[in-house]
Amino acid sequence: MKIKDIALDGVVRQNPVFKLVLGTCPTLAVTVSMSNALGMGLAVIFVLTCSNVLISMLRNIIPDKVRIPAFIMIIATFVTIVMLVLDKFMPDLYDSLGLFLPLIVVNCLILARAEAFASSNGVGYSALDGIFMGCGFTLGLLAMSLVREFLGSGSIFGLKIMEFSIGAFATSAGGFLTFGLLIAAFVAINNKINEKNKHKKHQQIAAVEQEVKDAVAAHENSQAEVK
Amino acid sequence: MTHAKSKKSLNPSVLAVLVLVVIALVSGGLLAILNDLLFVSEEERTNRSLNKVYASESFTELEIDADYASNADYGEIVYLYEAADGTIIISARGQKGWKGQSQIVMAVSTDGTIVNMIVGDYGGDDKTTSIDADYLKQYTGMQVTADLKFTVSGEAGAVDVSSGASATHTMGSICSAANMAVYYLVNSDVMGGDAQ
Repeated sequence: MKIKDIALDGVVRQNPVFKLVLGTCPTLAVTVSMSNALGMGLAVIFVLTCSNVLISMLRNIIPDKVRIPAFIMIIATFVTIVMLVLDKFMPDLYDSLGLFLPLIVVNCLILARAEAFASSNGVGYSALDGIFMGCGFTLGLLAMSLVREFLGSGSIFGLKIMEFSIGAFATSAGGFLTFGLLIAAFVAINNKINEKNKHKKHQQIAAVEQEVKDAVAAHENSQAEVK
Repeated sequence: MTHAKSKKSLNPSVLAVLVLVVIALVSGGLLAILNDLLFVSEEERTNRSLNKVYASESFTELEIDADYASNADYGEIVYLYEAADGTIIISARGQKGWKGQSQIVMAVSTDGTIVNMIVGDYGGDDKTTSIDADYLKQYTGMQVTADLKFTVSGEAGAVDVSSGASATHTMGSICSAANMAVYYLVNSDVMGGDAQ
């Protein structure tokens, strides 16, 4: 397994927001402002990385029968740490994230990575998976919130950019609309890149085949000359 | 025989419970230590609210007049402070609410104008996005007089503050808390009779 593969999987190929469609609840709820989206993203990166590392370390100790409750307990511990730290040092962010902060415990993304990756891979790879999956999630939230805050409130990171705004983008309906449009855009771009890569691969294969054919022909010519 | 006994492994169910208990104990211990280290006291929370609602170098706590500290229709007064320039910071808890009573913190200048108002506690309601700064701006700029009353139910003669998406019960509780603060300021001596 290559580090590049883990990074690409986390951020692009298996993007949690637009490709796997995991953690949709906070994606729709906290993306009204970019600062909330960034705060939620960083909290998820921390919880995902720490829980992945610990679960990977304990993967041979935790019996299969109780792995889900054990994972939940580990994840809940890290979420509580995030909550305590935010309440102490970033009370405004803590207040604005509200219920969605404790709900990280049941975020499908975190449990899915614990179950699918951390419980069967080494500590280093699990840590990288947590970091890159978290980055993919954060980028997804930031993309959503960029559209929603800019169109819904005419601002970016709370700074007023324009007076014109379409209030609907700040509502739940606007959240679903933005989500659908961004998924469509993500899939379309992904497909185009895949097609380009496929075309490139075909060209490479064709070039190799041509080279082989030329070599065979040259070999046959030389054989004929010898005869 | 002895050798065979020592090789006998632990019952899988017992092992599963044991692992869960150990994880729970370690997690609990760690969180207990962190909770002690990062505990936010009530005093610290009050200071945060005071600084958020009004910028001042210092705040002096004032004694609450027990005669007007609560009202059956509106709620109760939580605390009362005076900023360095004489601005009064009053916190009140309103009646009802969605999951509990909401608490507001209001700053009233020496001439009786509401200069700012924030929500200190939504009373368990998590729909905080519905009650944003723009909603709370409806309360600011109002003059605290005996006639001032806020309403979310279209009451005649009162200032309508019902605009806002969802969170109807919480908005009602916030309105009730604001009315409680106004009631206290009008009836007690804290404003030196200016508000009356």
